[in-house]
Amino acid sequence: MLLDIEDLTIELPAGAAARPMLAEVSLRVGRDEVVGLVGESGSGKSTTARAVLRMLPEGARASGSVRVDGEDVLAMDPARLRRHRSRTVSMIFQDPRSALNPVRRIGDFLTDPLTRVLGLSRRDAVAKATELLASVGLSEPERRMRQRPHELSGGMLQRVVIAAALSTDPDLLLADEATSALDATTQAEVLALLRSIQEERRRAGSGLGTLFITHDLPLAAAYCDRVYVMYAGRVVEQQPAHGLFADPKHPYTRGLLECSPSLGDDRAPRPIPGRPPSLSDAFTGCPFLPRCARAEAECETWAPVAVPFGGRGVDGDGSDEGGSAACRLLELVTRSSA
Amino acid sequence: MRTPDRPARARRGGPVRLARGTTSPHPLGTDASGQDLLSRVLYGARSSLLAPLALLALAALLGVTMGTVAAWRGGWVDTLLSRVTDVMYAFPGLLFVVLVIAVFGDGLTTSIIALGLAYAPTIARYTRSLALAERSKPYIDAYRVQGMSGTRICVRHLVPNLAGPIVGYLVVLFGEGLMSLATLSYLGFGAGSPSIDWGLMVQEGQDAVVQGALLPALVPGTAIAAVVVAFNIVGVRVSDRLGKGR
Amino acid sequence: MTEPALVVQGLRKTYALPGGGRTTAVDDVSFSVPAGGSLGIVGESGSGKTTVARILVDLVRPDAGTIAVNGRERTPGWRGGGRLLGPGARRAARLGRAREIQIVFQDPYVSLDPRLTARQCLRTALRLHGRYEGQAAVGRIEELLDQVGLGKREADARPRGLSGGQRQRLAIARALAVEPEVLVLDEAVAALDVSIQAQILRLLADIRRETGVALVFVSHDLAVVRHITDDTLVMRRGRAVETGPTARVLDTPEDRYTRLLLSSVPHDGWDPAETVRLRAELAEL
Repeated sequence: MLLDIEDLTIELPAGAAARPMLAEVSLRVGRDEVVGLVGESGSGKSTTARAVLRMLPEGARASGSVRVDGEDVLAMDPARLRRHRSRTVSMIFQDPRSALNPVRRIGDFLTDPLTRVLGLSRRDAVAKATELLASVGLSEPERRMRQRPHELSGGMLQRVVIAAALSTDPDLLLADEATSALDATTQAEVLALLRSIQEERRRAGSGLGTLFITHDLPLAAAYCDRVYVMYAGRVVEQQPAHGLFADPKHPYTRGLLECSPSLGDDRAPRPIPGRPPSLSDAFTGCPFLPRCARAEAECETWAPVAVPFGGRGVDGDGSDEGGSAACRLLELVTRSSA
Repeated sequence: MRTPDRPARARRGGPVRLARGTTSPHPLGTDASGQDLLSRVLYGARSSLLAPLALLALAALLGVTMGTVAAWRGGWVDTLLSRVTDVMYAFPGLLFVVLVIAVFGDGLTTSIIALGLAYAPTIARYTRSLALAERSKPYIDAYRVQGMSGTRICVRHLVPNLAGPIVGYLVVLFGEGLMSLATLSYLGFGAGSPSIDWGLMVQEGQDAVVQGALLPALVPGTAIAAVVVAFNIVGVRVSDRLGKGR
Repeated sequence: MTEPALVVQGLRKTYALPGGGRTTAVDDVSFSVPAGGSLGIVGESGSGKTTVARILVDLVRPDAGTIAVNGRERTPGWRGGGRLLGPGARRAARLGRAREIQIVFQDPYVSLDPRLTARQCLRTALRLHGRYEGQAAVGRIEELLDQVGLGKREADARPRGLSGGQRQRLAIARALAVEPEVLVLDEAVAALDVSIQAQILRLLADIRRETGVALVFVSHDLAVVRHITDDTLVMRRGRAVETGPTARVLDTPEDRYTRLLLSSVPHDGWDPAETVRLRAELAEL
């Protein structure tokens, strides 16, 4: 397993928040796998991604483990952590403009990590950078190398950022809302690019795993192999992507799908009442209870646990059909059928 | 105002004595006329602190109006106002003030008006940059779409939303204004004897320095410095506080 | 067939380029929206759809074209003519135009006056138009707050104390306070969380049914447009490339560009490479 997060809990210092930012998050990404991580604002999806780089919020306490290639990121010494951040994992953020220094040339942005991290000579770095720009589908790569960020469109800049992220041959790519700020058409083009890069690496035998973080459940379900849905710092459901459209198990997942308008469906989107919880909202039982149409009195004291369903369970290499959802009602069904 | 000794009585009291150091009835000593320095510094605070306030009120009225109009109207109005501001900016402030005083005669009122005119361009420039950023926000567009007139948007909504940073800036300028006014009094252009003013006191205390008495110049001088520094610190805090959380 | 609420003809807007020459943002765009109807304007960024929205509410001055609301030609804002009128007549004309078309902007975090509470925000709008005085104004404010689903606590909160969805509700109430005949929504749900987005869409559908206001819904999101509009106008590089009933345009698109836009909407079994292929096809034309 490339990325294996187990029971990750991140708590802010007392008084700063009423509930943990992350609560018992378990998540896996295999080599060659594209895993979606979906949630609304404040769900903890970005915190989870940043924890993979051990970029924790100020003063936060973390428990559990974040293993990349079997090694716990939370226990790495500083030198190992630097290497982990620069070589093993790459992160792509939402806004490419904030990732690029506006006064430096595109070329410098790309060659920097190549000379610094991979130790290439200046000339080799320029050659490799030009090649990378061509590989992410930018025309006239030599000219792009000399251009500055303001001369390129948002979609082109995000390609540059992707090229930079892939330049150090990482094993794991963290894409945090990487396509959310782009036009839908540009988003599709960038995702097609990421998919073909993934395919190339798979054929070359050096599998690349991707954690694709987004607020857009239909997008994640359509693009990813497997999807995790987060709510109030918890994973409330995970299952193979194609199962999500057909059979979402958790009421929140179902709610998200029903409230996202779709082209093929004539029913009006059905909103989830209320609002996503903030860090100052604490819960005694299921955090989704105040917004859940199917809630029962017992849900108020039910401590959420992942209830497995389908397939062989959740410990395979990502190809199995099973999933899990943290809903008491599902637990009741499972228990009665057992 | 509570002072150890009323300045007028202090003036009348007793024969003319040399400036004296610290004694129990005069904790900061007396000046060359034998007047209690603590009383005079405290009493002088009134005109020394009120005058910069008047100066800033005038400068702010002119500056904020000019800056807002320039930002709102844009085009030739902005260009014209920017040019005027540039000229005023490039012109040495003190020289401008001395010129005004030369034409209209000295005195506290003339100093205040002259300095108010000299400060207005700085405030105008600052306001213009703030107003330009603010007017591009959609809530200003929303007022226009509602059918509100430009004047009303500026007066009722745009300027009030700039109040935080502008007030912070004015607090910092207050110290500077106090310094400028004290300088003018010291040079003999501002408040003249018999009024009590810190700048004037420094000037009057100068002679005593020669005789070895430092306090008559040092006490009002320190008062000026303390107020300037205090207002700088508070000003930065105020603009930070008011600029935050929106 | 009733008279259209909004008729736009031959709208055109060009901008001067820094290096000389001009770029055309909107090129000969015409459309109409029936009373109580709902039109979607879709396209990528740079297609000119937001410029059209801003022209409708007088924030951008078109080079050519006419806009009529309920058969009345919209009096030009600051163009010509205005100077000839006295200040009182100018004010009346301005307020009259405001009651024709209102707008809700994309980002609720900057489209509300940070100084005013929800109640003050609505009072400012009502007072400006002078339709409600004293107790009637208080009653109308409660009615508006209730209409958009804002409660007692929210009524006295400043924007800082409201969530994104609540702010957008307030922005809608502010537009409704003027009682416009046409409401323009410029990407009005794009900045909201998915679950909140659906709440606002439902609110807009309710408002349209209750008040009969005509909606112009500018959006890049075809799925959203599919659910809230009757007709759709597809824009590309300033031009209208396809227009018709929303179901027809989105189910059986005739223009290649519409097909390109549709290919980018994710669904079960979606292949983003399709968009790349269609874009290449379009570039060859």
